[in-house]
Amino acid sequence: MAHALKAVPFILPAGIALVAAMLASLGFGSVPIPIPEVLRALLDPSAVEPGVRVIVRVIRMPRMIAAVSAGAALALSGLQMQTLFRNPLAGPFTLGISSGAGLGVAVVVLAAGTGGVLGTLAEGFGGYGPYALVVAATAGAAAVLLAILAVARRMAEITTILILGILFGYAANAITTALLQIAEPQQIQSYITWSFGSFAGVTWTQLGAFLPLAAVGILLSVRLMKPLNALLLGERYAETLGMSVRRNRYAIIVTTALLAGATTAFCGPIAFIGIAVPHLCRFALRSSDHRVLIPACAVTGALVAVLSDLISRLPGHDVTLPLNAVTAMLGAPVVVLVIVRRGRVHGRFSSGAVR
Amino acid sequence: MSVGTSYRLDPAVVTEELTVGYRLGHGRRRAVLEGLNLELHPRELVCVLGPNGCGKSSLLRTVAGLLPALGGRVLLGSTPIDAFDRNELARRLAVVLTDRIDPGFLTVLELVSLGRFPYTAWNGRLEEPDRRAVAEALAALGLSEFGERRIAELSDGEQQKAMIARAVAQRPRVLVLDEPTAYLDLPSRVEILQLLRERVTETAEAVLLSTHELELALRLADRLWLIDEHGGVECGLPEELVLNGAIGRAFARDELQFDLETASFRPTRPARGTVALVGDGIATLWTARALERVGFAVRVASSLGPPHTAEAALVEVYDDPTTPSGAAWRVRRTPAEAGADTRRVAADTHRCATLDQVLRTIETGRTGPADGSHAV
Repeated sequence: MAHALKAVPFILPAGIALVAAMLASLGFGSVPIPIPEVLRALLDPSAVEPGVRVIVRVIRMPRMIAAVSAGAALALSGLQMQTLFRNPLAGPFTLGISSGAGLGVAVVVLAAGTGGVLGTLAEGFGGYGPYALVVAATAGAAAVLLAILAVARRMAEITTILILGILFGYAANAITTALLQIAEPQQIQSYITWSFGSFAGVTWTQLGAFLPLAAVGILLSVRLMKPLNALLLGERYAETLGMSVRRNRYAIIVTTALLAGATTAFCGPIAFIGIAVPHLCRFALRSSDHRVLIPACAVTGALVAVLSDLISRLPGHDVTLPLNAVTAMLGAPVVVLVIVRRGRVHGRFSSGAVR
Repeated sequence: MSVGTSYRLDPAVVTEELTVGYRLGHGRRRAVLEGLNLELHPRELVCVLGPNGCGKSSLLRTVAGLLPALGGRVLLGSTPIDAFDRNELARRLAVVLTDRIDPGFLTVLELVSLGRFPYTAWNGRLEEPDRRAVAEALAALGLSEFGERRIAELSDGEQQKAMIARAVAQRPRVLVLDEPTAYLDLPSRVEILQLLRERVTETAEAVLLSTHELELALRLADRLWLIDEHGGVECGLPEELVLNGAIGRAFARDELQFDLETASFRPTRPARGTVALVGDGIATLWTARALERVGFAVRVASSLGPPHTAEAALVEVYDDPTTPSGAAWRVRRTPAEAGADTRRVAADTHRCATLDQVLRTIETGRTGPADGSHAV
C-alpha cells in the first residue's frame, strides 16, 4: 500500500486539524463554552449543567456533524466530476443538481402561501419548514438527475453531457428567477436564506436521513477509485483497459448526484468546497491518484466545511455571515491559484503534449 | 528472421470478409474498406500504410474492437472479438491511440501501472505479478529510471514510450498502435519503431501499427497491409510490394512517382530540364537530391565532357578535403556546339565549394556574390 502511505503526511495533520476544528465548532458560538467543558458534555453529560448539555449536544453537535458530512460529500463529488469531465472547473453542481434543488425550493416557497394542491402539500410539510424544503430540494435535484441520465443513455460524448448539464442548470435557474419575480418579498426572503447555505438548521432527526445518504455516497466513491484512475487517460483509453465506460459513467453521475443532492437538500447549495478542495488536495499531494485523493478530499472537505461554518459564526460577534460568502472567500483564491498554476506549470497540457 | 518462424504459429488476428466503416444513423452506413481477409501472426510487426484518409485508423480501431465491424468479423486467435468481455479483451489486446491525455500529476510508474487495470482487484492494488509486469514494461521501453518522473515533464518521445509501456504492461498478445510516431522527431521515430521491432522478436506478441513512415516501414515491418485509394488492402512482404509496384500505385499522384532504387518519392516530371552528373560517393547522391528537389532531372554521366545540347548543365563531383563537406563541384553550362572552343569552355567552368553555389551557378551562370568560387 505504498500509495496509501504517500497520503499519510497530508491526511494525518489534516485529520488532527479536523478533530480540533470539530471541537472548536462545539465550543465557539454566541455562548462560548471552554473545550474541557465541551469534552465533558460529550463524554459524561450528567457532569455538566443542562444548558451546556443542550447547546453542545442538541444545537451544535448536529450542525457540526452536518458540516463534516457535507464537506466530505461535496469534495468527493467535485473530485469525481472533475475527473469524469476532465475539466478543472467542474464541481458537484456542474450537472445542474443545485439549480434543480433551487427550483424545487422556489416552487414550494411560492406555493406555501397560495392554497391549492401544492400549497396544501407545502403546508402539510410545515409551511416553509425544514422538511418542505428538504423534500422540495430532493425532488428538484432528482428531476435534473433523471434528465441527465436520460441524456447520458443516448449521448456518446461526455462533453455533450457536460454542456447539457450546464444548460439544464440555466433552464432551472431561469424558471426559479421567473417564479421569484411573481413571489411576495417574504417568500423571496425564505428562498434567499436557503440559497445562502447553512448547517445551522440541521437537526438530529434530519441527520438520520442525511448521514446514511452521505455514507452510501462516500462508500460508492471509494468503490469507484479504480475506474476514476483509468478515466485520467480519457474514456477511450479507459475502455481499452477493460473498463465499462457506460456503466461507470452512470455510477459516477449517480454517486455525485447522491452526495451533492443530499447535501443541497439539507444544507442548501454550498459553493466552492466541491471545486476548490480537490484542487487543494491534488496540489498538496502532487498526485492525481484517486487512491490517495479520495481519503484526502474527504478529510479536507470536512475540515474546510467545519472551518467555514466556524468563521461564518464570527466568534465574538452577534452577526453571522452567509455560509456561501465564507466558502467563496476561502475557495475562490484556491481556484484562481490552480488556474494560474495550470497556465504556467501545465501549460503544455493544454496544447496536448501527450497523445 | 522472424518472418520464417511466424508461419508455424497460428495467426493472432484474422479478419474474415471484414467491412470497416461507420453507422451514420437511420440505418445508413458508410463503408470505408470492404471484404478484407487479413492475417496478423505472432512475432510479426505489421505496418498499415496508405494515403491520408484512406481508413488506416478505422481499420485499426475495428481490429481493436473499438469500432464495430459493418460486416464480416475479426477473430482474435480463433474467437470472434466481440465474444470477449472488455476485461478479457484487455488482457489479450492493448491499444495506443492518438488521443491526447491530460496527465495531471501522473508519474510514469502510475501511468504504466494503469496497464494492469484488467488484472487488479476493485481497489487497483498491484500484486507481485503486477509489479513485475510493470517493471518489465518499463525496462522494455528503457524507462526504468523514469518511474518517479511526471508524465508532464517528459519529452514527446518519452511520453509516447510511457504510453507504449502502459500497453506492454497489459501483457497483450496483440499490440495495436495508431500512428505511434506522429509528432515525434526523427530520432524518436526510429527509436520507437526499433523498440517495437525488438519487442516482437523477444516476445510472442504481434504488433500492428499505422504509420506515414514509408521508408522506416519498408525497413522494419515483417509485412505490410497496404491500403490503396480504392479501399483495397494488399498484404505482403514490404520488398514484394515494392517490386510488384503496389507501393507506387497506392501512393500514386500525378506529380510524384516512387523511386525503386531509393525507396522514396520524387517529382514525376522535371520542370526545368536535365543536368548531367558525374561522380560517385555520398556527395554525388546528395547533389542529385538537391538537383531533383529544385526541379531538374539527373542523368548520371560516366565521363567529364560538355553537356548534351538539351541539358542545362554538367556537374562533376570530386573529393576535396578542404571544404566542409569534403567535396567540391565543377559546373559547366555551355552547350555542346560551343564546346569546340576550349577557351570558352574553360571560362564557363566554375568551381563551387558548396551545393548552394552549384545550384546558383546552374541557374545564373555565375557562382553568385559569395566568395570561394571562381572560374578555373
